[in-house]
Amino acid sequence: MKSVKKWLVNNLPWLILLATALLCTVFIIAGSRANDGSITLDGKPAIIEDYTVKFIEESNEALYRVMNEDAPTDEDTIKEYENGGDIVGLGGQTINTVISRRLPDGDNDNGKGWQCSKYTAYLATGRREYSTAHPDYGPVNGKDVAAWLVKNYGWKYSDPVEGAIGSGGFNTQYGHTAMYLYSTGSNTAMVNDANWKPLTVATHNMNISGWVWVVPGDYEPTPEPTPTPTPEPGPVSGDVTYTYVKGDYFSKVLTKLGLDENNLWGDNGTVNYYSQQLIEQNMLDYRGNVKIGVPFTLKRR
Amino acid sequence: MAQTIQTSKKVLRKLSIAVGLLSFAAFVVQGLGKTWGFEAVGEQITQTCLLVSGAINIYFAGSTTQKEITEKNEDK
Repeated sequence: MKSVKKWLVNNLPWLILLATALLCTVFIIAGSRANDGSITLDGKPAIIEDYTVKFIEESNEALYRVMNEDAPTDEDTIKEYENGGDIVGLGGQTINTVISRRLPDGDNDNGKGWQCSKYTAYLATGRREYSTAHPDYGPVNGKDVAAWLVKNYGWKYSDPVEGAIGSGGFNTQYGHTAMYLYSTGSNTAMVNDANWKPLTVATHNMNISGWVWVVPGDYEPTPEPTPTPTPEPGPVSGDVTYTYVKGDYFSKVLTKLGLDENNLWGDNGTVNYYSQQLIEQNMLDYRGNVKIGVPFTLKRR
Repeated sequence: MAQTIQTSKKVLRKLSIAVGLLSFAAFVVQGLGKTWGFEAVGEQITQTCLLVSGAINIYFAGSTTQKEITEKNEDK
């Protein structure tokens, strides 16, 4: 008994792993394939929880950093575009132009492929080709794109805003570059970039710790909306128009319209005063009730 | 003093290894799934591995709490 217990404890990790594998196998055998490729017992597509999606994204990010997946831009291309190169169509760049160039996820530039730097350089300049020998390459390495835009195209460093182009991974050989979309945490953001999935465009959550961001030179952050001053409550004046609906009572309507002066009833009361105006406008029917659906105007006392 | 169930250091260590192995398996399976065309199933297996590893972590949280209580009682 003691030896069995000892064996179980010694092999606990593998037994847990084996049990998990067995569990998955049973479900795979007993399940049926859903439209999206998942195998479930009820045949409906599997629901993948957010934590799994996050785990997958973070795994990809980790792998991406480890593998240094971004290919280098060749020396000739870097040299050619060191001082900006001949960028056709650059001018009048606004952050909206940059955003409008965004391509759908999965785009691979007609099979040429997008390295990250080629994609963000395209977003910034509109130019898709930087190297004949390597059609997927950008003008500079990913980590240098932000500085390249500042140096050659008058872009400026900024806080991350939608459409800003960023560079990061400065501790890696080639780094990475992406377009900022929106914040998802203190150090994370949704970004649009390329080569997250090999050589294609992707939108995903990413750790942007240590990244720098640049925007077109003429970009000005949208000023904070100035709150409209609330008018001081003062004496109310002017006419009030109202249309009676079924169920209305005149006294309640007067209160609702703000005409009540805390003196509804009596000869000099609000009801009596405004009733005179109704009579003058022929707003009472033969029973003395206010006509429904006919607008009338009351002049404030 | 209320009697608490003590988990031996060895078991805790083995469970910790199990969490590591499960995370590793989840990482490999989701990667393989994308490469070999079983992405959806890969995500399902990943989620299963994470669930099991989460369950073990919940056990750890209990174990840690138990340890804290025991230490507190010993201090008194």
